[in-house]
Amino acid sequence: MAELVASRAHVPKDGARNRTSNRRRRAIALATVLGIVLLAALVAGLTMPPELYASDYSQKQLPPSAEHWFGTDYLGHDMFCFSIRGLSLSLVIGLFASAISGFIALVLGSVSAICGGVVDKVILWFADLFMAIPHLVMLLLISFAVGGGTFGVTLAVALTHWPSLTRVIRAEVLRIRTGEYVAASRAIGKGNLWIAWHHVVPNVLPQFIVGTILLFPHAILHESALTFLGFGLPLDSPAIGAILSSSMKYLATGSWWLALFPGLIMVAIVLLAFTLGDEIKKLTDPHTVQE
Amino acid sequence: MSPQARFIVKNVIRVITLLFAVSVITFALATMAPIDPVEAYAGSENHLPQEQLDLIAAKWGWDLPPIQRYLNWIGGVFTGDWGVSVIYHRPVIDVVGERFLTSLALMGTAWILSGILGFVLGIICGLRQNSLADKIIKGFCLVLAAAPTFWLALLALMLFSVFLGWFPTGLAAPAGMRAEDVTLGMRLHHLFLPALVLSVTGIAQITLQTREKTIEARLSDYALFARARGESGSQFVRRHVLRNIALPAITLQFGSISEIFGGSVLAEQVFSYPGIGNAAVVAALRGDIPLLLGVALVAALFVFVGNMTANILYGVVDPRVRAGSEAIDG
Amino acid sequence: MPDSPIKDSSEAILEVEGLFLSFTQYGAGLRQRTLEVIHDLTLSANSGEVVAVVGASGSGKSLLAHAIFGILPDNAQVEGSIKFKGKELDDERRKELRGSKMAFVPQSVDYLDPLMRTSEQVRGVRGTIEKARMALDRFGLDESVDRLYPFELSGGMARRVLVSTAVIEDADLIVADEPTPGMTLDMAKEAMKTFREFADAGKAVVVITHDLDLAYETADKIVVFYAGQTAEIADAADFRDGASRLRHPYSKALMDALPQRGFEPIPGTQPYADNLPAGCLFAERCKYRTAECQNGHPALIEFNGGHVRCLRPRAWLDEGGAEVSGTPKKAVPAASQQQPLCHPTPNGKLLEARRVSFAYKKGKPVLESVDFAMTEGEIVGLYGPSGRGKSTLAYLLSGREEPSGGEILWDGSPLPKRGYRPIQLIYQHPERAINPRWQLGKTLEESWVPPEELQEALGIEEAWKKRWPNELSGGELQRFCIARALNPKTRILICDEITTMLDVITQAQVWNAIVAHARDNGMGVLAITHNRALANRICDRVVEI
Repeated sequence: MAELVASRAHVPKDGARNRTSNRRRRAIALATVLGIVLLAALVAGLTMPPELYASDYSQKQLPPSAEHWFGTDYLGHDMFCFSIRGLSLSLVIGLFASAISGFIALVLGSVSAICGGVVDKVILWFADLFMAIPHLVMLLLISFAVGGGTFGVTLAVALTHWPSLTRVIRAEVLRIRTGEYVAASRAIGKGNLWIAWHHVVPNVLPQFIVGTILLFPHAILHESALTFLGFGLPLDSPAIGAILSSSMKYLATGSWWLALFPGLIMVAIVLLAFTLGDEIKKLTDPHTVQE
Repeated sequence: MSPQARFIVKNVIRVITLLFAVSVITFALATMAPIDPVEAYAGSENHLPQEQLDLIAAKWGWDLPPIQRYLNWIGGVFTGDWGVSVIYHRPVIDVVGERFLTSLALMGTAWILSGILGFVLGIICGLRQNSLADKIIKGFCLVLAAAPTFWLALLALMLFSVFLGWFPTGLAAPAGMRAEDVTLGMRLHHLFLPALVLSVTGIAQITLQTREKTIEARLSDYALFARARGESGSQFVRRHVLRNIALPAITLQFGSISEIFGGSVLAEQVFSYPGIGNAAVVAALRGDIPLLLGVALVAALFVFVGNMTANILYGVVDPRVRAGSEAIDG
Repeated sequence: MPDSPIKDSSEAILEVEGLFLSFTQYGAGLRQRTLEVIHDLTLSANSGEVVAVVGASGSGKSLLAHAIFGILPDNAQVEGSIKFKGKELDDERRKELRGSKMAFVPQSVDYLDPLMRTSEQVRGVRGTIEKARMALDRFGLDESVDRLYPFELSGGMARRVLVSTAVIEDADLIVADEPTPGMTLDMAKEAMKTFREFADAGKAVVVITHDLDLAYETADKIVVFYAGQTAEIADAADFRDGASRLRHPYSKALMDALPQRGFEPIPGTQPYADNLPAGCLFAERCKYRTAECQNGHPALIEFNGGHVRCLRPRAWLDEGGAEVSGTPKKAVPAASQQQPLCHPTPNGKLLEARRVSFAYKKGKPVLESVDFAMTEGEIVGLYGPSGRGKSTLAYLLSGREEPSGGEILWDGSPLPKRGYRPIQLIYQHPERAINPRWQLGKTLEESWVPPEELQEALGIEEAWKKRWPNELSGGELQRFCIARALNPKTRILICDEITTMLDVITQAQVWNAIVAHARDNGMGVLAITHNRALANRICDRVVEI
């Protein structure tokens, strides 16, 4: 193997350093653009003057037009503004939920890998437990238990998304801890804290960040699903799940735009978040990290 | 005991402990809810006198401390007494059983369709990486993975039922018809759209993973060696690719039961399909705790059996896991 | 092996001429650029002949094999001619011949399908189960192997399975990529016998290896690669006779660096494909270079019955610096394994293993009741083929693992658990022993700042300290691992096959530096190796395991 590995190190299969450096630059550019778009949606939604998405009974049930890009609903909301506003709510909940989930995963994953033994077994057992109940049922139950609402959804989404990332972080910490460069560091006389800070953290942090970013789109999707079912945000609030839920009542009337556009915008944002995660993943790959 | 048997026993024990934990957690969560079961039972409109409410509470044991209630409930679960549904006024086990069977048709179809289609599409993409077909299928899958299931269901309902009128807008059989008059054709007609939506959403993940695994096999050292030994592309696929991607695909397929279940809750909601997902939503919305507990338990059992099957299959089929070998150096 | 002059009846099976291999990459701004890794490479193999291709890793040896069999990645372009039995080997013909008339023996089990049983694996698509059985029989593998999966094969079994894939059909050409990893010279020679038998049966055999001594002792012809070029083609006999009959200064440098010969390395490292010098690729490391060498590209010319790519072949004869003393160092008496007689030197401390055993959780014991002792100031060799628990003993002695039985003592007491350990361990794979997210300078500083002279002796270039680990080769990284461990607080240095993956010149550079440092500082060295000549060269005594 040595020969091949060595020659690959000199001549990587799909191009050498310059190629990766180019890919890297492209990934940075893409990630920046995606980040800006997400941020713009967030800021636009949160700072939107309420009159833009207030109901206007003179403008009910209008199909898309130059004035109302996404049409209006049965209460005369402008669906474009209403959707953007709803999206920003989803983004906020998604951010909180994935951050909490990521944090739980980081703590449990590291503790599991470092302590080993019984602690490790117990944490893994809990991860299994949470992975084995269908997400949506678990979401329903948690949301049911705390009585729904913004807090309920955020908590429910945060509590159901940590297991997979926990396993990833545990495996990574374990791999680094038992690795040869950590053994060498220990032999040099470095203490656990020093090793954790200089060896483990720099190698785990990228995984953690990428993992948390990739939790984010899942969190948004689950929030909207929960809201759609009636357990999340109030059904009269401008949330994508709520908008789509009420659009169901008007399907038979042929108001197709009520369901199509808010959903599309949701898909766009989730795709964006997925891509952002993937690009950042490329950036943190140790084989391109130096360019 | 043979390693295989030990492996299976270990897995079964693990599942039993986990199921027990699920029962505790669901019971705790349901009990925590700010819903008064007595009120939910009596209906908030009917203002019954207090002694009557107490009677109801006593009849169902709702006045007991939570631990006592849990023990009563879990004891009942083993003897087939899962309580009585507050909404339907029927034993939970009957409601859940009936709903589960209705859902099974839906989930089963979707599970098999998405599994087979995803596997085939994944292999095609993996073998023809970066071709037009690959790019289209991959893009399609990414969009599907990003789309909420209920939105896809809404779109399908709008297009095929409302605009085209090809399919009914909901339910598992024509409304108001007696069960014995419903034909298989009618059932399939009602099943088609929800099953389609559920299958399509399930495909994305399986396709993408199978694609990755196929690419991995294609770029592996053993692929190089196979080529150097004169194996043609199709021989390589038959001899090596299928062998090496089948196991991860099977694992993912059984693991996807959880996702399918979640998707089915949403699809059933949109299509008013009277399955178990629909029962879960109704039970939670109207505070029917016994029914909710029953649904959660069945859902967990269902997913657990899937995961356990995947684990055992992997352990029995993959020689590396079977041997439980540990890398020994030097 | 015998000086079998190429028989008249022999025909050319494989002829590679003027082969160029490059990889296309996308540089900045979508501009394509190509990275040429093999340049104007020439080689031939006749029937009845064992040809050894020798070169450092990164010299393009494996890529050559991949080019012959058409298994290069998609972004590779090949130019030049590869002929099989006189006819150009195009894709069409290659498809026909692969696996039937030409066979490839890969270097490790990784090239076997992890989920396929041995007999099915060996059978391939052209053979039958019976043929597979016969092939396995031929290499002494009985029926019990048939149903094993690759991960269940021991190292030796795996190697024989790989070789047996080559005899399923009656191939005329066999190309083996590093078939003797981690074997002692005797074992490797035994393994090479198989290839000799193939050649005697009229096949042409090409063996790719970085073991120069193995190559010249077992092959008929040696092809020396340097930085993607053929430097020299010579009869193996020319090498056996020492440097005087060689043609290229690199070949001479290789010979001089062998532990059983001069053990004297030339400075420098092989240049990277993206940073090649303008003239002769070897010029910057060549003692005999002239201004001409740094401008002109030498062609491969016939010279004294061989071929050489050099403007001044055998220049060393003119310059009078004929031979580095070819006298091998006297063999060191090996102490027996049971009684490692050792007492601390007058002012030294003793490292001792008393009846140590080791087993992984569920596995078979790797070590059982082993005794070992060494002291500061001495250089001890631990010699044996891979699979004998040498690495495990190194782990135990250095304190990386706890023994499951027995005890390890340092100066009469258990190993210190905290602080700088006086016993340091260097690993075989430097790329695993260096944090991939640190610039290399930081890796050094983690331990200490080695003085200039030491860095120079180890051949560490200042510019490398700003580089990232995946930008350097294994040999370059290993120098950092060594420098890190040569902190003055190190009293005993354990080197676990540290140069196994490296070429002989790097090996000599590195070991000379370590030995000098050990002698100057009274440090003890435990050299774990499967290379007897190396052990003899550097050690005061050798223990076999």
